[in-house]
Amino acid sequence: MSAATTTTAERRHSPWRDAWQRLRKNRMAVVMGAAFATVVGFCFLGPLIAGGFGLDATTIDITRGASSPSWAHPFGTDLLGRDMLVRVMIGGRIAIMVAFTATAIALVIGVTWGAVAAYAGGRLDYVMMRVVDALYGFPTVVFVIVVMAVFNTKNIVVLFALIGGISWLTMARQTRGQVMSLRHREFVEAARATGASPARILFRHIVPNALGVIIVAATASLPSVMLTEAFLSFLGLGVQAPLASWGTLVSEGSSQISVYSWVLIAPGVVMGLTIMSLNFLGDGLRDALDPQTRKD
Amino acid sequence: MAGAATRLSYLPMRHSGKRLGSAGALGALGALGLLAACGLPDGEYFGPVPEVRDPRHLHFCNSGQPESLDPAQASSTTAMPLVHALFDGLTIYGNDGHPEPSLATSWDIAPDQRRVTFHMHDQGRWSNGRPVTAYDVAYQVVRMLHPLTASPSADGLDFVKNYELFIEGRARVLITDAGGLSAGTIVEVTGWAGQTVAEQTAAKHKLPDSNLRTAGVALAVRDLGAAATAAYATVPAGTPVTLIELSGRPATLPSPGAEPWAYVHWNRGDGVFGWVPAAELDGQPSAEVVYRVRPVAKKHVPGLDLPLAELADDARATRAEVDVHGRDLLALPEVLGVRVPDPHTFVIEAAAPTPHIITASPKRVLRPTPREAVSRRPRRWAQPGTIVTSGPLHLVAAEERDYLEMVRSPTYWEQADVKLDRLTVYSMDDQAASANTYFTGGCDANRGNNVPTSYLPVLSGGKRGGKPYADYQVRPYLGVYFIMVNTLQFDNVHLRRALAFALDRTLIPRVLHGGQFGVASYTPGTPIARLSDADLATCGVGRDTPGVAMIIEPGVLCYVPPPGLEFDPVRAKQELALARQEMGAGFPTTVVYKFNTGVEDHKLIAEYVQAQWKGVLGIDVSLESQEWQVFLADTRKQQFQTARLGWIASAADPESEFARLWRCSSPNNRPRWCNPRYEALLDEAATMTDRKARLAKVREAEAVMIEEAPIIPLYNYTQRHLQKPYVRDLHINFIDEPPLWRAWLDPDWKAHRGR
Amino acid sequence: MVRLIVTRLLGGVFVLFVVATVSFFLLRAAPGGPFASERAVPDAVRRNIEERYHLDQPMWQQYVTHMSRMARLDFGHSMKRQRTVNEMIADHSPHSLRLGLMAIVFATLFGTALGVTAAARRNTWVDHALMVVALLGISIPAFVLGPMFIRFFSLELGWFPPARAEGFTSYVMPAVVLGMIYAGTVARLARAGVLDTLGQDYVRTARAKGLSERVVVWKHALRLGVIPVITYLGPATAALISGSFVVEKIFQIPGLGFYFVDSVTSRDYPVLTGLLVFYVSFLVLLNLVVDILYGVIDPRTRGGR
Repeated sequence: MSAATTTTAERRHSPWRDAWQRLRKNRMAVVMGAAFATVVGFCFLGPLIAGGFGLDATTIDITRGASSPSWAHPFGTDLLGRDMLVRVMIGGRIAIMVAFTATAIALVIGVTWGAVAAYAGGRLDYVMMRVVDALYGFPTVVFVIVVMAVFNTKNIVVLFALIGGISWLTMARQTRGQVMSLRHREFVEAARATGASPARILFRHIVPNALGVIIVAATASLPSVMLTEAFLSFLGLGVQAPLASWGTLVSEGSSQISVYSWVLIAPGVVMGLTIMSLNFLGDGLRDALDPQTRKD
Repeated sequence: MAGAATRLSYLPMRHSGKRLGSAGALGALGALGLLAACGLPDGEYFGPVPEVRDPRHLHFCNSGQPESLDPAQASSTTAMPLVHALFDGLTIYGNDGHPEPSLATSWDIAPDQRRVTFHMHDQGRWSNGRPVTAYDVAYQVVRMLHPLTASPSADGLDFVKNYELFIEGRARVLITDAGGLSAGTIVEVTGWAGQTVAEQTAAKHKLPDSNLRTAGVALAVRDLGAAATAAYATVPAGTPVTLIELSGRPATLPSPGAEPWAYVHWNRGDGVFGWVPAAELDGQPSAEVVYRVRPVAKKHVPGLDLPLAELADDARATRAEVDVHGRDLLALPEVLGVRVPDPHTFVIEAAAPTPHIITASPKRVLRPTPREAVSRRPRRWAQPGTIVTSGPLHLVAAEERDYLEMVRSPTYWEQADVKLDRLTVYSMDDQAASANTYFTGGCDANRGNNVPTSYLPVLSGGKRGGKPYADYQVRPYLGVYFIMVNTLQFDNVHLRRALAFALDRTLIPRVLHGGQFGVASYTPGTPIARLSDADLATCGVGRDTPGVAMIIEPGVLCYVPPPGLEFDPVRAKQELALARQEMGAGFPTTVVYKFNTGVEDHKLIAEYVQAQWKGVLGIDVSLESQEWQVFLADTRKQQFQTARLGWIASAADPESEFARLWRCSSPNNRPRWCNPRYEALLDEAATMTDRKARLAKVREAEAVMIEEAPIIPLYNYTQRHLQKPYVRDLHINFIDEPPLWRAWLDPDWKAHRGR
Repeated sequence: MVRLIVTRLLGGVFVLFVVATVSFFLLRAAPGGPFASERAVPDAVRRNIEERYHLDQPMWQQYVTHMSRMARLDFGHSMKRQRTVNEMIADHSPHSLRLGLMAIVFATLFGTALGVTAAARRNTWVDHALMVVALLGISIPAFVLGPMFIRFFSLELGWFPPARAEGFTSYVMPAVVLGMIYAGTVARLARAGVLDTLGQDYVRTARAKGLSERVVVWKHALRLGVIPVITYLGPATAALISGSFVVEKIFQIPGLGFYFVDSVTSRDYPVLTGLLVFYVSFLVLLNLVVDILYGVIDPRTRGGR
């Protein structure tokens, strides 16, 4: 398998700028990136604007109940008469925050684990990767239910950490693969010759060079984390009411599809679009960052 | 893995509309949205009505997979109507949900309400042809309560004499004169080897079993009286077995010959039970163990009839403890309050006056089970092939989480009562799947409440201009949904009352759409407005009386619960002010409301409660949803402030099914509310034999509880049913026990419409 | 090759041991138990139940008993149902297997077709449109797609039964919904893989020989281009044929996937451990098969990784 050629010497050519150039030329990725930015703006700024119109996500109006989209409630209202527009926005905030926090956590654990395993090699590598294999075997729910129960909390931060804690496995495998191919390269040998400590070699020399792969993996994990959160919501293990993430809204909506379709359509379309845009963005980033492209 | 190289210099770049991609994304999502947008098809009925192919074959969408069909192991509402269709009882649930004679043709109730004698006919047959007798009923009682059975429903028989001692394995009968007591005395074990039971339990020592026996020869385990060659298991010589019964005693089968036989359990694999000649059991591992025993109180002595006053005196008398040996003692069925004077008479005895024995008699705890089948495969006999039934239907096939196939039992004694030849039960654990299958004609009827909440606005007509589907019905259900208030944390009564007054129950049907009866009273029943004239007369109320009433025995007994703390914002605020004054700094700034996940209704109710308490009282409520098991564990440990719970009765009796939940010693008293006056009133009621006076006392107690508000009732459950217009005589009653075998399908339903 | 197989199998045994141990203790650490219900049973009854299921024994003793049984491939008896775990696996896995195989076939065919076509028409609107369709499966959770399909193809058009496994047609919708999740990934991998190989020498040669673009893409580029797909299909197959909770629940298919979640929520200890061990063995075996397949498809990787 061919490998990166990004040595320290070459970095002056700024591969990052090259990558950026390439990304900008991938219009699908650009459009999807813009779409994602719009969704982020919609979710994080939207509630402030909607608040100006007297809309919020929690005011219950039982006498109104579920009502279809109107000027007062552009996305309609849910069974308890709450405005769906703001609920979708707030739900997006949570979903996006979950995705980024969990991915960050997964990134830290996964990169460290994979890099250490690859660099150490031998028996330690074998054991560490078998641990990853074993964890792969566990369904997400087992962890979530048990850990939530043991901590006896539904604190949203714990939920973030948990999802991160179960999403790092792929990251670890990919990092390991990349580090394996880097660890015997000249610039590593050079660093070793200067007497740098293994930790320094690993995190100052090798990991930065594997960054492309890591970023791609991180982008790819964003949508899957969002879906994990949605699945947990489907099982009733997601965020606490009255907070509602997209996952909650969509799983509630999917049961009401035959009756109040807008309760599903609004969060479903926004969430679907977000996940799709992240996927395309991820593909674009991979094309832009993957060192292999420079081979030709 | 290698990444993609999208730009290959030697390939001509094609020009194209890239924006189409994202437009396509939106378009595709939008199309799916449209796909979702079309409402459920309109029509008079929910889904097309297929032709009736076989009027004697009902397809029934049940609410999930029954965990078992063994009356001793099944406990879910899912399993119950199936269990009750397979196993006949002394009484069964009738069309109206009230007991109806079946194996028993009549019964005598002793004046002191402590004994019921059932008179059985001789027509009952097991599916293997053997007659169903009173011995089978006695066997069921013993089996239900035996520690080896470990039935989760054992407490359904908690009125029976020596119930608790027997379950704990501490009830014994002296088989010889010993320690100054004569043979036949019923005793309880209070200690052994010089220490009390409590001390031994603390040291994790188990009670040595005086029923253990060994044999010098290999034991041929078989049916009673069968030849040794007909054995279905052979216990090696010297292997201990547990003696369960001896034949020829007051509650057991007569011995086939001159010598008694022993019914034993061999603990191998899933276990094997069976009969051996008692004489073969010559070894006794615990013969020399010294037990400390004392005679049980007189009210617990089976067969002893004493005036109530004398029993009360006896309870205060001290009973002397004596030491006896293991060889002197046996735990036998006769220590329980069951007796079989002849094969068609069954006597059950209670320690205290128990007027609800007949009301509770159709329950699974009194449905006889076939000893010959249970003995061979104790854990797994209730499966196709090995099951032996006595009811109108017989199980012929089953696939887990898929379906159960039942057919008319050719041996059932009352063939005229069975309208079905075949019943196919689908185990639908997903409500939407169940309702959808009904919609497409996959099943003819849907089990009560196996419809997703989200379908209800359509079904009930709310979304169709007020026109409900003609095949959708809402019926009363004997269950109550309430909020528990942890009285250890919220020990101020005004605070609890404020919370109760602040809830507008009339909004609940608008939140849940299931026609639920929003009412603040506790004991559930039928809305008074929907009672028949005869029932109204029984209850002694007018039709315009608000609230509900429970018909305990049609034409005889009715219970109208005391009114609850109905919505009253003014009083709510007054009570809150009082609470604030009295509690001072202890007044809670926020209230936490716990509910369990997995059921959409609980979340909707939680959000409704949150809005109401915030709106009326200005209290911030934070919601906490938990997985069911965690929720159960937490509420049991009083780790909650307020939490939801629902309680559904399996018999129409306010006292045993509802009032006793809030007694100090009740394991279900999660609010930890313990009120001396409530205790005293219920204690007093427990000694009363006049049913009406007794109910009045229970009502008085309930009023005390309601005013103290350890729980805040919200609504009475309803059953929401779907059944195709051609389904006839599927009687949905208030405890959700439809006699399934009486249903049939009318091929000419269109002609008969409007009948 | 033999060495590879032996090492991987040994690793697999270690993984199984860890999975069994962790699941044994993890589920028991959670509050509740198999016999909890809102109707609290009296203490005496509870003690009898615990004794019957040996839950009164010290934890280590239960663990040793259970592990030694598992070593003999006896996964124990369910505490909630009248069946052994072995019977449950035997009864339910055929349904999951049938559904999973249909889903994997659908995902592979549909995904590869989309991916390769997209690669052939790279950077055109066809490419983008196809990839959007492929990504729908990953972007919409199955619990949304499932009810939509039921709503439309079953309740509206009446083409397929809305639930239950009865005959081939009843598997179509669940298989498609399940397969859609995987088809998206397959399409992306196939597209990337084919694009990758299009730059390789032997493809250039083929192209230079004057073969049509269609032949180049579908015959030459596809062969190596599908390697990433195969890598992915290994674990995906294990996941698919061990069942999917969501799809089996929505469509009421009596497969094994349902019990992965159900055994957790009902605290059916032996069932969870048994199912996990069963599933992970599958995973280990299929990963091994994939590695062997590599060698068959791409001779260059033969003899090591």
